[in-house]
Amino acid sequence: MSKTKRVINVLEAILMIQMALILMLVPEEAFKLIAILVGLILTVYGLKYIIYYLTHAQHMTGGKRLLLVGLILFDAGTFAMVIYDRAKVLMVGYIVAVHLVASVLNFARAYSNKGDGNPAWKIDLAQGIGNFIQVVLCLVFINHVEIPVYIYCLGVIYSAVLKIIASFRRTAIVYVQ
Amino acid sequence: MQADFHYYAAYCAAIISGYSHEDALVLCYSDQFVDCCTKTFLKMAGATVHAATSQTQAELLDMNTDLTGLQDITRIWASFHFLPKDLYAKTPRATKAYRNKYRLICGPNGALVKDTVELAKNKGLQHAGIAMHVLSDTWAHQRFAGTPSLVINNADNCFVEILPDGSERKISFIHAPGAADDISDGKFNSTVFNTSETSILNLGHGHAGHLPDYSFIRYRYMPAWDGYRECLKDNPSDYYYAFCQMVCAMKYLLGKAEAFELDTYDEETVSPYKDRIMEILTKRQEDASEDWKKFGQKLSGEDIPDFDALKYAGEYKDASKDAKNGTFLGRFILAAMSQKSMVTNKIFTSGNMLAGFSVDYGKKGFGGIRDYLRLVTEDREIGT
Repeated sequence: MSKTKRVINVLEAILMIQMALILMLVPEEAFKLIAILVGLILTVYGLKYIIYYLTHAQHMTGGKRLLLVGLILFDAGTFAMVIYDRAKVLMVGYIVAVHLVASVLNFARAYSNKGDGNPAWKIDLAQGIGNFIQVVLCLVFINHVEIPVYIYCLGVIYSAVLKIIASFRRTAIVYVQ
Repeated sequence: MQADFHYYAAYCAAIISGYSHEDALVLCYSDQFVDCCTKTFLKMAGATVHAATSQTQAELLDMNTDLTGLQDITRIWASFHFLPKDLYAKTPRATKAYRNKYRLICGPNGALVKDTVELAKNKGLQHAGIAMHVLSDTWAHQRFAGTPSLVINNADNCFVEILPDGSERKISFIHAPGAADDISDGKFNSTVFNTSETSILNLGHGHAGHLPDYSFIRYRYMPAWDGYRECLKDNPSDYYYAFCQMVCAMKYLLGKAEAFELDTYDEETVSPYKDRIMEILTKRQEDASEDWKKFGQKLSGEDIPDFDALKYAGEYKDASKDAKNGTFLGRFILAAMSQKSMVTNKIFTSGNMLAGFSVDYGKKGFGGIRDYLRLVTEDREIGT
């Protein structure tokens, strides 16, 4: 990684942490902002997949799967943006669903990696447990708007910290003569 | 292909073609060195990184897959390991972006193979070695492209191995970086599926693991780009044709043949050794180096030293600035830059920007990366 890229990564991470802390201070407003943001990201991702299918993946074996993923993401994104200020419980459920899917995928990957003798299975397992705890917290406090906001913001801070760590990691290859 | 073919089999082909033991060693070393000449190595040797002919996994993971990063990757992999077969291939009802990637699909007997061999004529043994690497990889790496692309390099998971007795067995893939292949049970390591079109995980034959690099294996699979058509990859046969075509090319480079023609294989010269070669190619083993080495030593009656990637690095480092181009590594670097420059220019002039810009020195004078200036000023002085 170049020095410029490292500096940019650190600055991005600092910005992410600041934004997350600000949002945690105003959970009611933050909830709406996050809902719109999540919806927007999903919509853009969905559109990206649909365009990718039309320009590239329609010629690919199994390319229709990408079209399907695009349509689902696009649909979920627009749905999330429409209901952001009306159905808080639904939005909590939505965040629950995302973390539940993520935790199932983490567990599946951990199981697969353990079978393959890949030591990364411990990290996958830890992430799976982390995601599952978030699911439980969201369900327990389903009527409290601030809980999913805190979970989301903590997730952002966690990503930012990982980004900073990655920026300081040595990446040059040691050449043993 | 691996060192067994790029080093030892190339030595055998060189001896059969008429090269002396010493020249055959230089040639086959250069052939194998194409897989070792990375930016990391070149930095260590104090040489220009623009001569890189390969990239380590760590280098790839560290690269940005932005426009210039992708062009850099494509220049390296398309020029040396996945030579495009047809830069003007037709793709009805496809966008230009898709067509440009489709046209980089590697395959044997494309016009660029002829250009590569002809470029190496009268340019020295290092250049000949590079040309042989590129030529033989067009057989092993066919149907994959030297640019990150999901729509080209992805493959359906259903790979079926055809065993020597004619029976078939499903190949299973695991995605554990660094894990060894289990060829007896048909379990191979491959890169994990990634939906990003330009992810480096979608470069070359990663989704087929090392299957294209094993000479013994025959298998069926469905490439991403071929309209749901299944293809048969018969590596022993492909590797034998690669060997016979190398002999043709080497005879041309030696001046024993007038021209190098595509779709031509010197089976006549190779036929006395065919049984032994096929025995090596079909033997179920991860690395056939020992067998090729014994065969090569029997052919020449000389000892073939093991490949050592650092053998010539010290000579280059210690040489004065003026003498660097005359060293083994200096000659290899010039040859590599010449090959990269030629392939990039052909891709660029076909209207495809995936390998980046190319400035034609003859028409527009010098421009672009300054390290290529030495190609202009000193290429002709090196010769053989």
